[in-house]
Amino acid sequence: MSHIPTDLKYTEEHEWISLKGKLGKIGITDHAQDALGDVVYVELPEVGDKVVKGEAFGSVESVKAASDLFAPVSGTVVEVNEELDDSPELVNKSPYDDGWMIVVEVEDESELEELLTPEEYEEQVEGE
Amino acid sequence: MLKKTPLYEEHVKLKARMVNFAGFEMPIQYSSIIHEHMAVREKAGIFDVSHMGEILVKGQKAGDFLNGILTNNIHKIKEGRVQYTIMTYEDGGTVDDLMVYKLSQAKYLLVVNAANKDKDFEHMKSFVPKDVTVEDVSDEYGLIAIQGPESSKFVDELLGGVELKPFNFKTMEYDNDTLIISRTGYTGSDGFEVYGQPEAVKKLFCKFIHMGVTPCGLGARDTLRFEAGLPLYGNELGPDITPVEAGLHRFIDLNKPFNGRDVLQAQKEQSDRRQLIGLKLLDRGVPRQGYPVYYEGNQIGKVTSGGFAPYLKKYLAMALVKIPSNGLDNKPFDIEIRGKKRRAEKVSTNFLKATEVR
Repeated sequence: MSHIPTDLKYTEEHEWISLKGKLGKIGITDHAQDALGDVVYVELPEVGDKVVKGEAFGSVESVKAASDLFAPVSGTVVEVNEELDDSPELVNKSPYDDGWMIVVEVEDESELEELLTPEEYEEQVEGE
Repeated sequence: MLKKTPLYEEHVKLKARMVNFAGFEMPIQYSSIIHEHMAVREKAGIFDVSHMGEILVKGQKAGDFLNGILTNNIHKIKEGRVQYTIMTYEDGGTVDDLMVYKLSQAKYLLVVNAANKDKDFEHMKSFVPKDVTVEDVSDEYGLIAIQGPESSKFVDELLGGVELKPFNFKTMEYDNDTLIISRTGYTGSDGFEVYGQPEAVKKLFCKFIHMGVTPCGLGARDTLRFEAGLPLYGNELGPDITPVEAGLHRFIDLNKPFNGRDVLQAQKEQSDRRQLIGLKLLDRGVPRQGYPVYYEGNQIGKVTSGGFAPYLKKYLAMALVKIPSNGLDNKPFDIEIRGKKRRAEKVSTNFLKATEVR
């Protein structure tokens, strides 16, 4: 059973976002890291880059496969988790904490309302 | 309907993630591929490889028959030895790569890739002379591989002092079962492979697990063989890739006739043929099978296997490329990874020996 924190919003592509003020922290879910297996490489945008809701902003690669990362919201990247360069396994060990990926300054907070609630995400995961 | 190995229930008990591989329901991983990989490099791991095919060849002329269809020379090894060899077509392309166990002058056990077993069997039957028999005995054998620097400790503890040198095997009795045990493997680390009746192999598997040997799936089997630079049929070998192109010269005896010999001879002397090289990423990125490889802006080939090597902690690739006729001038290669060119330097495919551990 994968862990789904109740204070986050989710995408159908298994990203999570937590919003503090205008800053949204983004990563992938416990379910996603478990399905991917050992993460060996994470490619992320640079600070100042724009990300667009629903479009790829980077990729995460496990031993087995490469997957795109999709932006839950549009915004400007203000912080990138550089720890993942040398320790991509943090995504497996701590997907909601040390394994976070980027922080964006969110353009339109109402975009979050279109995302999945924890209950909706759990339903999706169980249906897979 | 997928086939199950004798160890299927054990995999389920160990909560393995199962996949379809060559028609078998096989464990891809139990815990994590990297954890299993490191267990084999540093301690000991055990694999269920019962899906592999076994073909028995018998007859006074069995050795001569094999020499006509395989690249290596079976007459060069004694009874009790194992030989790695390649089965080739007339055009030099690869039917399969395999191990031959010389049981006696007139009896040989061939261990072949599961996905190729039926094809190999048909290929062999089309060449077999009247006085030699070829028999598919795959269902009679289970097969486990115990691999890693501590594998001999565990094998000696369970089976008694086995005392085998690399590429040697012996037949032994254990608990009223007859086993074939060889000092062989497909990981680049020391190790053993044990063949026996399905029930006997199941018993041994459970005992090794109980003793603390880490169960390892097909995921780690692939990362281990890749990190050791060992070829995989379907990646580094295939009907359109010859063993000469794959750099397997040590296992080809051109001084005897065999299917495809003349093609391989000519290819060996050709300087601008395709060849398998090792590449180490200088930029960041994960190379994977099929990614294009460039030199000085021109595509010269493709990655055959690539990825993160967990023990070496490097991003590596094997690639089949045509080196330009004017040679190389120490410039880096480029691998196109998900739309971006990443620099890589040529290294020996013997990654374990060629690459320092960070």
